[in-house]
Amino acid sequence: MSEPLLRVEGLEVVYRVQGRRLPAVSESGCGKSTLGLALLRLLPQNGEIAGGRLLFRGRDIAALDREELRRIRGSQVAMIFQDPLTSLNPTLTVGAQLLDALRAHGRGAAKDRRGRIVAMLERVGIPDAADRVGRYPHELSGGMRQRIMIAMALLLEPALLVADEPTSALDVTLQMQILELLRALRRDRGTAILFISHDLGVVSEICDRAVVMYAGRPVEEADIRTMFEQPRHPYTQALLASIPSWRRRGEELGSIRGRVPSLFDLPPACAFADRCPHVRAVCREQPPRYLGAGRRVRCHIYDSASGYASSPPSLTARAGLR
Amino acid sequence: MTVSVPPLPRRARLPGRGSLPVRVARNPAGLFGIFVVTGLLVLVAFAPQIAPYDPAHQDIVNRLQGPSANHLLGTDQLGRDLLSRLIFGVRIELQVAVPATLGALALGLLLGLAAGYLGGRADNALIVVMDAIQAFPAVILALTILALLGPSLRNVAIVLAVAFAPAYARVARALVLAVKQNPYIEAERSLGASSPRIVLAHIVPNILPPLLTLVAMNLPSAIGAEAGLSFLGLGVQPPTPSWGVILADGFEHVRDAPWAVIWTGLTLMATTLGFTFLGEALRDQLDPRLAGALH
Amino acid sequence: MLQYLIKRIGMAFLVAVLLMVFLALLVHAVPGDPVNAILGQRSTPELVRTVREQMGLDKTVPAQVAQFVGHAFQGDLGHDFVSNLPVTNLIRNALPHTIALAVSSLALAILFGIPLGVLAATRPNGILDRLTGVVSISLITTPSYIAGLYLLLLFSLTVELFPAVGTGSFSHPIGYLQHLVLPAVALALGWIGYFARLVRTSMLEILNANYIRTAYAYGLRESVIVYRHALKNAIIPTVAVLGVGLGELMGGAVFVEVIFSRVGLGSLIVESIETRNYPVVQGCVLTVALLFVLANLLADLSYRFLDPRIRVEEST
Repeated sequence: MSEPLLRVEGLEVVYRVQGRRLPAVSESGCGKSTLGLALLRLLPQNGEIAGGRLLFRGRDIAALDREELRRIRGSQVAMIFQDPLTSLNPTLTVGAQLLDALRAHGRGAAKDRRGRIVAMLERVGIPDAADRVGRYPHELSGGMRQRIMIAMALLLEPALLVADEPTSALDVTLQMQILELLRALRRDRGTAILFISHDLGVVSEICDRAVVMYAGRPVEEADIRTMFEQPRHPYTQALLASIPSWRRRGEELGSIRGRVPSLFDLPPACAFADRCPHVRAVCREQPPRYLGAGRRVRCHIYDSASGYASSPPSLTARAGLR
Repeated sequence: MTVSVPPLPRRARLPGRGSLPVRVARNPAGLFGIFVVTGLLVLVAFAPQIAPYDPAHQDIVNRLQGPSANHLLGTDQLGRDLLSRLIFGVRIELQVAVPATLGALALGLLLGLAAGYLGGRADNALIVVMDAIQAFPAVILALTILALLGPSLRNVAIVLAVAFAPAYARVARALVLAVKQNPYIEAERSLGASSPRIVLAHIVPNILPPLLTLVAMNLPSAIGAEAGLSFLGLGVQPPTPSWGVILADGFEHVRDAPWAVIWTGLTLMATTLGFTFLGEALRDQLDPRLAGALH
Repeated sequence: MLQYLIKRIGMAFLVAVLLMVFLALLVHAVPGDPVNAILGQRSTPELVRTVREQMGLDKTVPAQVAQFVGHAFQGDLGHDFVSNLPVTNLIRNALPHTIALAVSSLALAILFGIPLGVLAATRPNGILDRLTGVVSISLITTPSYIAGLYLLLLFSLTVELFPAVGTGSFSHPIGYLQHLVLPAVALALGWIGYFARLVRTSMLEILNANYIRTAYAYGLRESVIVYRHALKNAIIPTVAVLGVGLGELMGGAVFVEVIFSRVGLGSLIVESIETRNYPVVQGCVLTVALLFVLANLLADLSYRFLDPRIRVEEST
């Protein structure tokens, strides 16, 4: 395959808040969910793509007409939303909602659809599926609702699955079940998964490659192993130092000082400068470039042209990040 | 880029600059409201100077005429000038509507304060009674009481005050309950302030402004109700030039001389629309929480 | 649900009793002799005797109330002072026509108001939205008698499209409908505007809900999203006001019935007030109020039926 399924080229989303344009960053996130929404052109009304491109199978998503977009939604790119209670319609049974998704894309013969839905619900681990299709979302437990969302996403066998924190609301056992389900899906059907999460542990369980975002921008990109073993960006390093690991038993956990900068006044150059233990003058003067191919990082330390005058900090520098 | 998710329902709000009238006037509907209401007030103040004829002056020869240079809007069945009668009618409308709404406010405030402040059984009893009274459509309730009181201008005002009071009582009660939650009321009480003092000094001033916006919103309903009752012959009595009386006279002769009905209808519509627009613009500026409280 | 139903019907019953007590007491709320209040200038010694006897005005007030409520429950609302016919007979003749009027107005209001609100909400702040906004507010603020008079002028006096006066008879359905059109439209206009505003507001809120985003994310057609997924939720607050709406329609029916000379409760009330026939007024008013209570009960129940979330809350 010469053309990648999905390509994100310097995507820039802005939200207009009280007349000001803000880079896309949701409450606690760094623009992770926004990326997912932008992919399906589902940004809230005050948000828009201001620059860059999103290419799905080589086609610019922003250039699709309404009907083309409608056909892609769900059947090519499906999304699992974060909050299943509000993301499911309270006045329709779950079966009806799943059925509408099938109908929208003319999938399956009318008489087979119900059987297909029940089978899918069973696959995602919903007991008594034949009874549950007739239930309303509020009649099901949180974990069950999340699995309904997942079933909806899988029902149409999309090429790309965008999972926005699909497990963050679930307990650990359920979390594992769902991750297993997603892994099986990728293995059996070759579905690509864009997994959006703040939980590095979960990410390491399921992803091949990872992109770390900070204040709305990707700061580091690598395959998952490299990312965990040789993180380069000081932010990635700090993040990894903050998760508990059996390897570092007895060590004190790291935490990142300060907080994500207010979007109303981002530092002019490197967004992480105010919190970075390796900050130099150049970090506050000049925005770092996003360098590399495949393994990329946005930091002056690794940019020989930037005049950052010391050797790259090693992994052991983590402890000093507190 | 086009986004398929429909936009936020919130109306774009103009930056809050300028005094209240300026802010109200910045919105076209508010401007229309100011225009209509000021116009009506001018008519009330200067009716004798503005009206071309005495509203009671009869001219039988020129009865039921269409609009002409002499009578801009035409004449009624006794040859009285319609324009003059409509102009003097504004006074009658306000003579009914203002006491009616203020009476409803006073009555509702009293009941709402009692229910909200006393709580418990008094509150429950009042709610049930209010439910029962509100089970009568306002017009029907007004008609029932009028059947006993007999038709007159004063009685229409009384009847409308009673018919509108439950709505005020409900809102007042809800506002009292909200204000009562404030810590400073608790503080006052622990300092030994008496109940009447707390009610008068703290609760009433707090709940009055939103209730007054309701008065502005309620005035057009009162005018419409008065005209309706008088139209049925059960309100203000002829020859007083209330709009309802003019309308009733016009309806008698609607086949030969539709003018009276047409002009009075337009006047009433412009008036209620003007008051409503003004009331809504004021409410948007003063207290957005009340949106839709009275309807 | 059953428990709720019983509770709700009990409440409706209580309100109904209170209504009767209120009506029985009303004659005493007026200053002066109740007989004079009831008869006004029509008072003759003979009529005074009839009134005292029929309404039990010689008894104590609680006994009068008990008598009125007791008789009302047995379907006895007293006798007409003029013709001496039972009031219930008069009401039985008038009621079907008023109900036909109110129900067809409500149907018109739903049929036009809801789509108008949806249309406005799907393109907010567009030309259509602004237009329906102005139109709805104008309709809401126009009293039903003005609407009625203008319709009468326009469509039966100027363009002679519909009969101007009369009710028609149920045995000639087509003629009956022709007589019904203008009054029903006159009564419905305000509610069309009101429903349009109401549906627009709740629709705008709901179109922003996460589950609507989900529906878009799964490629559902816009018409399915708007009419199936959003409207079902947006309509719930509208159903909640339907009960109140029917009551207000009965109020507006008074004017419309008088303007179009229709037989009905409203014109009966006005006529009886003019002839100082208080038992008839009392009976009609009680009927209207009871209908209102019933309509509220039905609206409340269908509201619960539409919103599955409430059903569960009640059962747990």
